[in-house]
Amino acid sequence: MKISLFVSLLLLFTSSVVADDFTGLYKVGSGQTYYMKSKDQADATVSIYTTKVEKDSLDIEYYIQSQNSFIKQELWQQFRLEKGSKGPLKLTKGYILSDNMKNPETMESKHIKGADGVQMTDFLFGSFDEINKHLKNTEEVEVPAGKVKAHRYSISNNGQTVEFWISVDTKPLTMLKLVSKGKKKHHNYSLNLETLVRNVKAKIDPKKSVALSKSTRKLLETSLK
Amino acid sequence: MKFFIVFSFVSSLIVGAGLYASDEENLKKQIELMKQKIEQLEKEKKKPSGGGLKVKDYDNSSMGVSNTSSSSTNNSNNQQITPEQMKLLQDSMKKGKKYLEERNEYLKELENED
Repeated sequence: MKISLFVSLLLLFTSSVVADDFTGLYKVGSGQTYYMKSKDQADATVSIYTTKVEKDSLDIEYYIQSQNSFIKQELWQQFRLEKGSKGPLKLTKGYILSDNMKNPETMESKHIKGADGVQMTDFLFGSFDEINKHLKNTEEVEVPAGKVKAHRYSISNNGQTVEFWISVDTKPLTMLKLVSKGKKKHHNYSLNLETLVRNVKAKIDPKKSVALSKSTRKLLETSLK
Repeated sequence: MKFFIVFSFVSSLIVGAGLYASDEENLKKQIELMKQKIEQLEKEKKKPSGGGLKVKDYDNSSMGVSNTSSSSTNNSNNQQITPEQMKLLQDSMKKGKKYLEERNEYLKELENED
């Protein structure tokens, strides 16, 4: 759910900075690594980088690794984002690979929809003007990756307050920091930019993907509940 | 009168040449400034985005445990473990054991449902 919210926010901002052509905006193998701290789960690093850039579509891969845990858990997910005539970007394809899978597995549309966060609260998919209503301040923010000037936004919904910082210095898209607070345990987590990444090779080869196994399907469906 | 005409002709030549020279000089300056501007833009274009932010280069390898290549310096290798790190390791081991038990229980439940 946290990852979904994070993905949704990134998608929102990605869609808000979409130019006519993705190729001028994104470079294959470039992205960010965040450190995620959570109250109810082990810490994790979340890396997001582009694996393929075409005029109207963008392939991104996530690499999530558990931290502070005796057993390292690894998960890779790859998604295709496509531009429609208008509105936010759409996730059209998804693949998943974990450290105990031999081959990547192709996610089904209902799981992709879940990752897209389509059913999530309205603000996530509002227009950029809508989001700008939540702009609180422009300030210097320090994250493990460095210190830069960023816009601070704050959004509250259903007892959860999400505060996030977007850097205007690191175009086209960089979420520097996100802090979520709420009454429920799973509402409390934070993400901080650890480093920008370059020249990352995709782990998932969609050509080698197989159909979703029963156990992966169950795990995905449980995580979306 | 003749002298005056010659003088004015010569002076107009001097002024004209001066204007020409200064125009040419301005033009050269402008071209030079434009060149500098282009060079500056080229440099900015080549600079990795992120300004002063830390950048890690994976040198065309994928992310994962087997991939440790990185241009960033990590001084934690070859260092002795500190008491704090030892405590963190012990805590992680406890958490890990608990996590493993929960994971196994969950997988068993899934199998039973099948």
